[in-house]
This record gives sequence, C-alpha cells and structure tokens, in this order.
Amino acid sequence: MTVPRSDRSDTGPWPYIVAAIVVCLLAAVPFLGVNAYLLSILTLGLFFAVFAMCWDLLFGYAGEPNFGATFLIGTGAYTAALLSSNGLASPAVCIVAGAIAAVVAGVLLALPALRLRGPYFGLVTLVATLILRQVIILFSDYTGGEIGIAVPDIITISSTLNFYIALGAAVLTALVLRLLVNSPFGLVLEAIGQDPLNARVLGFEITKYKVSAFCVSAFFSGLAGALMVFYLGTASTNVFVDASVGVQVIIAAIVGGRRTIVGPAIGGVFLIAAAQYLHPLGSLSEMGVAVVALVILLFLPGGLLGATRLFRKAR
Amino acid sequence: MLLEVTDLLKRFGGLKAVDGVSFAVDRGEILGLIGPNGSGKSTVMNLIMGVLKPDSGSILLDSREIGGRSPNRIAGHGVSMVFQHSRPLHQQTVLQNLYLALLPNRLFNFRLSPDIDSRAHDALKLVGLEHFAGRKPSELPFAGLRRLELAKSLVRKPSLLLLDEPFAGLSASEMEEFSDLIRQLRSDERAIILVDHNVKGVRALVDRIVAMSSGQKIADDLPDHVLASPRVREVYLGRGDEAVFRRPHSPAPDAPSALKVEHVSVRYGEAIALDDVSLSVPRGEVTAVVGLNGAGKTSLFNAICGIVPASGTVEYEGRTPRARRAYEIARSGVVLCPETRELFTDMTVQENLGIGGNALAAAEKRRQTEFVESLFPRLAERRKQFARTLSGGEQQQLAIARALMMKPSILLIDEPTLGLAPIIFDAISNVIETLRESGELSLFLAEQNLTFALRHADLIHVMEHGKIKWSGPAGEFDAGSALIA
Amino acid sequence: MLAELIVSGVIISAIYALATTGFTLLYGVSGILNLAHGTTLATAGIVAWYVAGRSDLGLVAALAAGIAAGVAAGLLTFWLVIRPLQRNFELSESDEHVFMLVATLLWTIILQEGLASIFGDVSVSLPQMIPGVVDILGVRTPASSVFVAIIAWLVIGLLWFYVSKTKSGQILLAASINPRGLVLCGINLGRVHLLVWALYGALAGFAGVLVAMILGVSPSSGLDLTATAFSIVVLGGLGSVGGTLIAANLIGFIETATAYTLGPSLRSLPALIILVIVLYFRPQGLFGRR
Repeated sequence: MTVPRSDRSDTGPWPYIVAAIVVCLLAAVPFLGVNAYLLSILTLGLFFAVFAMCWDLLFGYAGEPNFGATFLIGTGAYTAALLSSNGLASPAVCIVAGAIAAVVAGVLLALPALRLRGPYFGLVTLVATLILRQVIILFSDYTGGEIGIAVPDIITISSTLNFYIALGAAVLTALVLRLLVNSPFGLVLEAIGQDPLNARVLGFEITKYKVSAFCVSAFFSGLAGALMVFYLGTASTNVFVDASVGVQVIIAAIVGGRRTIVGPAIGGVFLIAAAQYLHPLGSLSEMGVAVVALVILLFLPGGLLGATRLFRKAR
Repeated sequence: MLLEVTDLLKRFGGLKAVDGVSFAVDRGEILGLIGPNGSGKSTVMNLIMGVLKPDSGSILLDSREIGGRSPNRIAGHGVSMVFQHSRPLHQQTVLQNLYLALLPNRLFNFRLSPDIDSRAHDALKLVGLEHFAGRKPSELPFAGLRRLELAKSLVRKPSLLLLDEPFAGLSASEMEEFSDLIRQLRSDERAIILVDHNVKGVRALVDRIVAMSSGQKIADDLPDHVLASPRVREVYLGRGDEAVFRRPHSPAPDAPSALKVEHVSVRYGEAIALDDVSLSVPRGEVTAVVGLNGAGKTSLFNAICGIVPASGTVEYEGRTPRARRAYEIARSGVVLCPETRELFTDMTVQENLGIGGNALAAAEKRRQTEFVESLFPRLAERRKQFARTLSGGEQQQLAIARALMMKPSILLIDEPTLGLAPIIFDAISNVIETLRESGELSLFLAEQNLTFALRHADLIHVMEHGKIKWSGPAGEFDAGSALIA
Repeated sequence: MLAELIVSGVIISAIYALATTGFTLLYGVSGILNLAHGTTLATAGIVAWYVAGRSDLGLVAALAAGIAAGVAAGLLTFWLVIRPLQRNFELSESDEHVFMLVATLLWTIILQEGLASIFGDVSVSLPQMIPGVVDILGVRTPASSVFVAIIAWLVIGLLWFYVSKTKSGQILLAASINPRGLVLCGINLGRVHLLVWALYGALAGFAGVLVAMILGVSPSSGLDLTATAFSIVVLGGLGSVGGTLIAANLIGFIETATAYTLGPSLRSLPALIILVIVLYFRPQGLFGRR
C-alpha cells in the first residue's frame, strides 16, 4: 500500500529544491560584499514577505479578504514597543508578548468573519485598522501619537545579524504555513473557503477552523511586526497601523501569486525592492510600482508565480 | 423507522414553503420526493440536513430529534447530502477531494490516517472514477463531478443519503448509468431519499414516492399508484377537461415561419441544458412548448433571445443574423417575457412601461401605452404604484405589458401562468386571444400547465431532457402519454 | 456653540452629500466600489485650482475644468482598470470583488503620484466664490460657504430631476434595479455603463471643486476622502441614494460635533465606531435593502 500524501503539488520535488537554493543564496548574501543599504532593503522586504504570507493564509485558503493586515501587525508592534519603552521587559519578552497580543487581535478580527460575507468582512477589517490608528492617536501621551515611540533596546546593531533575523522569520513562517496548508487542516480550511455550506455538510465545524487560521496568521504577523520595531528602533502609525500599508500587503500577495504562500513572499520582497530601485524617480517611483502591480493584477491574475506556471505549460 | 418527519413547517416571510409535511423512511428503502418547482421538496431536504431550521415539527433520526441542529452535527449523526451544484476543491486531485470527506472534524490533525487511502480508492471504484484518482476535478466530465460528490458522501458511510436532483443536467445515457449506480447503493444499512421534479425519471428506481405541491404532501404511495392519483395528475397537467379548449384549427404545414430554430444546443459548463433542438414557430399563430420544469424550455427561450450562448442557428423572420447580442435581438422585435419577470421593482407601473417603450417616439409611445392599458385595465388603475407593491398576477401582467410596449413581432412568454390565481389566469388568456386576433404578432409560450397551453396553442412542441420529444398540431396531442407515463 | 455646530454641520453635510451621491450611484448601477473616488475628487479640485490661477475667466472656468477633469478621470478608470478586470474570466466572483478593490486602490496611487509630480504635493484651496460674511443664528459664516452648501443641494436636486424625469435618467435608475430587465427592453448595457461613469465623473468633478473651496485638497488627501465617502455610503446602505443623503448628514454632524468637543484630530473616530457596529448587526446599512 502506498503511503498517502496530502501534498498537492504534482510537479515533483523541484519547487522544494528551488526554494532551498533560494534560501541558501539569500543566506549567502551578506558574504557577497553587498553594501549595508541593500541589506537593509532586503531585511525590510523579508519582513514584508511574512506579512504577505500571513495574508495569503486568510484570503487564499480561508477565503477571507482581510484589508486590515496592519491591525494585526500594528497590535504586535505597538505591544512590543510599549513594553520596551516603559522598561517593562527585555526585547525577547517584548517580541513574544507582541505575537501573543496579535493573536488576541486575530480572535477579535475573526468574530465578524463568522458573521459577515466576503466584501462586508473586508470593510470591517479596513475600519478596524482606522479605529486602531485613531486610538493610538487618542492616547498619544503613551503612544507618541503620529510621531511614534522610540524603543530604547535593540537586539543587535549588526545589519548582517538583523538580516538573518528577518530571513529566519520569513523561512520559519514559510515552512510552518506551507506545512499547515498541505496538512489535513489546510485541506479543510480550503474547503471552507471555497464552499462553507458543503464543508459543514461534510461534518466540519467551521468556526474553530476559521478562528485558528486567524490566530496563526496573527501570530506570525505580530511576531514580524515586533521584530521590525526593534530593527527600526521606533513604532509609528505610518509604518505599522496604516490602511495603505495593509493594501501594500495585499498587493504584494496578489502580485506574487495568491494561494501559494511562497508567491506572496516573493511579492513582498519584490515590492519593497522595486520601490527602492525606482527611488531616484522621486514621486514617480511609487507610481511606477503601482503601474507594474496593476498590470500584473489585470493581466496575470495568477501573479508572478502563476506566470512561471503558464510558462511551464507553454513549454 | 430510520427517519420520521412529523408536521414539518417552514415559512419564508409570509409564504409557507413547507406546510405540515409528515413522512417516514426506513433502512433499505429508496424514497422519491417529487413535485413541481416551488413545491417545497428541496426545502424539506435542507431542513433534514440542517441547512435550514424548521419553524415547527419534528425530525427524528433513529428516534433522536435532529431538527434545528447545525449541518455538521447532523452530518455527524450519519446524514449526508449530495448537492445539485457542487464546488469541489479545484487545486486538488480527485483523490484528495475524497480525503477531505474522510477527515475527522479535529483541529489538530496534521497527518492522514493510514487507511484513508484505501477507503478513498474503494469509494472511487464504487462510483467508477478509479482511473481519475490523480486528475483534477476540472478534467472530469459533468457526470463525473456528480459521481465525485456522491463518492464524497458515500465514504462517510451515511445511514441516510439525500440526493438533490441527481439527474439534473445529465444526458439520457448518463442518466441511465447514474440510475444503475444509485440502485447499487441500496443496502440494509441505509435509506436513500432522492428529490426530482420528473416523475418518469425516478419511477423505476424508487420503492415509494412522496409527492408534494405548494408545500403540502399530496401523495405517499407506490410509484404506480402515485402516478395514477388524480391529485398528482392535476398538479402536473393542470385542471379541467382539455378537450373543451383544444383548438380545432391546425396550421398549414407550409405556413411561413416567424422563427426557425435549427440544431441549437446550450451547455452550462459541462451540463447539457438544450440538446440539438430544431423547431419552427409559424407566423401569426400561437405556438407552445410544453414540458416539466428542467426540460429545457427556459434555456430554449434564452438561446433564441441571445441571453445565453448557444450553438446552432436561429432564423428570425427569414433572416439569420450573425453574432447578435441580446439587446439587439430584443430591439429587432423578438421580445422575451421571462418567467422571472425582471421588472424594475422600485419604479412605478408607468415608468416600467416607459422603459419598455424607450425606443418609441413620444406620440407612438402614448398610443402604445393606451393600447396596452386597454388590454390590462388593472395596470391602468395602478399606474402610479411601485411594481414591487403589485400582486404576483399584476406583476405578470406588467411583465407582458412591458414586453408589448416594445411592439414585438415575435413575443416569447415563459410560464405566463405559473403560480397565478384563476382570475388572473383568465385575464391573461383573454389578452393572448386578443393578440392572436390582431394578427400582428406571433406568440411563443412555454408552459408547464397543459390546460393553458392547449387552450391557446395551434402548434405544440413537447420537451424532455433538453430535447424535442414530439411536435405537431394541438389537435393530435395526447397529454397523459406525453408527459407522465 | 450649538448654533456654530449646526451651521458648520449643515455646510459640511451638504458637501458630503454631493461628494457621495456619485459614488453610490456608480455602485448602484455597476456594482463597483470605486476606491479611487477620493482621488477623483482631489484631481478635479487640483485641476480647478490650477485653472483658476491661470485664467481670466475665474471660477466658472475653474468649475468647468474641474468637471472635465472628473469626467476624464472617471472614464479612464473605466477603460483602463474596470473593463480589463471584468473581461478576465479566470477570476471567481469573490476573487473579482477583492481584485476590483485592490485595482482601484492601485489606481488611486497612480493618480495621486501623477498629480503630485505635475502639480506638486501641496494642499491647495480655491478662492472664495463670493466675498463677505453672513450672520446665521448669530454665527458669522463666510457667504461663500453658505453659497457652496446651496449649490451642493441644487446639484443633488438636479440629479433627482434627471433620474426621475428624463429618459436616460430613467434607464440609469432601471439599470440599478434590474440590469437583466434592461437588456430585455433592448438597451445596450455597455452604453449604460459608459453613461454612468461619465455622469459619475461629472458629479465627482463638481463635488471636488466644492471640496477644494471649503476643505482644501492635496494629492494625498484622496484616501481620507474615500474613507469618509465609504463610511457614509456603507452606513446609508450600499446603492441607496436616499440612505446616502441621510447618512451624509449624520456623519457630517457627528464629525463636526466630535471636532468641537474632543478636538479635530479625532473627528472621524465616533463615525468609524458607529460604522463597525452597524456593519456587524446590519451589514446592508441603515437604509439598505437586501
């Protein structure tokens, strides 16, 4: 008897080999003599990759369009920053606390998802971000308002080490999420996303699966958010609690190729790198990125990863 | 008894969709639940499965009350349902779709149990999909998808299997094969309930038939007895003595045709709705296409009017236009009055008529409005009322009136009398006769109600399973044999 | 203070009402939530400001230029973003909703950065339409603001007249109720969509010019304007013009009251909280039908 495999890729081991090579290459980047500036862009890109992968778990698999990714990221980031700036905990504890706080936020965000259909849920998440932002501004005595809070501690000043932290977070997230979506849990989650009624008739209690997906997504979002606070040295609303940052996360995921986990990671790095590459163009740089993203969205709905698949089929 | 349903009641707003229905099924039995569209049969299935919650009444499964519980709990008690429209996981293989059905409802479940593979393969073999295990569902033919859904239900070893219109969209030969498959599933361990609106399709397959109409049970007996029941015949054929209304007149065989349909087929995805249909509608006469719900009448009308893509050719008044779009066909005088009416509900009667006459010049529009209002005096009285505040019968009149505002040369009316009170029935009858006598337009009706069709039609086409089964003058038509037996 | 609150509430509400009717009309007819709405308003306002500063014709030319800019932005959105997406049949329905929202957001960024690079990323205000102040309920109010509020309601009245009394207006209304019925009546839906995008652009253009007069606009103020329009439309019930008008007044007054009592930086918070509560318990909005 053959051992059952729930692995759904029918392309053989190649995607895994390619992924391993890419990770090795990334790990070797600091030794290739790149400057600190490029390394910092890659570091940010990798954090962004985590955000995009977490979004993909919710939309690509559970079918929930979350326009409030920064509600989760921001909760993690601000929790860590508040604890640290008040001298309440060491960075490691702050980061763990941030991730846990984000999970609580994830449960909060999951509540409307159990009641509302797709687009309406999207609206609630968008508004949730706007409210969190206003609350941070309301309590600006503690949070620094729009200026943000500086954290006194840092993990390390070495840009190489910071890069490895981001790479570690991205690889860990990718591994866990890939394992999860390929497991029976992922199969059920996808079934719920596609046809909730059919899933219930097959005997699945969909609430617990949905809430769990939100918790996982929130955990890694919050973790990366908290790590990023210690990397940047500050937590500000424009970086962590902003509807347009949430939109950037969605754009990264769709540009990379939704419903793949790996695609959004590529999209996240691509988006940050492209913005930096086009930076000399001034205000036209963001426009350039937006045009590229729009063209991909309109004409390659499978994203960059989907495009490679088309290419393979054509051959 | 495995399942005992008692005094089941379900309201949607003011409508009693299921009105005090009781029946029972035991293990080893196959029960057919039949009834025309809107009779409440699908609602009964959804109530048993827990997709809907009953307003009152009880549903006992093995003497345990399951009414009002959630679908996943009812599924856990051994009930399984195959939906008419299924959405399998498209990224996964057929085999993985079956794994899904075999998974326990447990969150921390990251490894498949070792026997899952053999169980999935057994189920695939049972439904004849063993060679498709590694394929994606999108590569399966339509009938194959239905088999996949059936396999997903079967692996759960249900004691009660519910099949919602298992034959919808299948070709005649696929139907035959699928019937055989269901027959093989009969076992002492389980009961099967299948819903269909077609009596003929299920009579050879089921042990017993429960017939429903307007939310109530009207028969519960052996198939042959149910078919012979006057109540059931009345529901399916309409009331009254057909012969009285039958038109003596037969159109000349060489009469010029207003509409000529040749080899037209319609598919929705893989499902066949219309299968190589050819027919003609003589000019200035009344033609009717009759058949049960799901026979393909609406698809035929939609194909003629360009609303759904179709293969084959349609000739309008002797011309065969190329690649015309729905609005162009409507503008050219081939006008559809659909079963769904498609009124502008938040606009007044007058405004609805105005949109119908949008292409007319002011004076002509006024004349046409006067003509239409003389046909439907009720509408003239309600000119300023919003369409949504009208009764069902008045809405039907408005739909026909709006279509007439377009000055059609060919008017297609889909189910003009469905669900209407007798008085409205007569009003619409009179209008159709007035229009026939005016001689200005050709009428094409789709009807489930034979009495109505026979009262007006010169020419009858009988449809079944997307095909024309019989065509001829109304005088030669034999109702009972054509539709039920 | 109450009088002050009422006067400025009425003025803000009038502008909000005009600025959201186009948005809700567009949703009603085409089912599209154009998240580039705020940026369309900003485009019109900025173009009007540019023309006002360089033309002798003054505000009339500015208004005409603003409306033209709004129509151009609306039609470009339709041709470059909406139609390509609607013609992509690979997408499932739920995917298409999310793609539509993301695409219009990307379009927002493109418009916004385009404006910033042409006109500079600064906040601009159109000059007062008429000079002087008037005294209402003891509150000294710029005459121009009162005039703007009156014009806003006049345009809404005109729109009402167009929709209920003219043939093409009736067709638009019918399209928002039942597009399939319209096809059966021999009407080309493609042209109806073109018409509604053009009309949307004109309304947004007009509103954008008025917004630039009272509140001022900058390329980056687009998203905030979208958020406000969005809250109003969702609160009123998507696609319901009457609901939108009521919600515009509701939000206008709540925001003004918040700004007076809690401070201007928090003006949108109570409205947002109400919005979440409404969405949770009545997703179709206060006046929407399902």
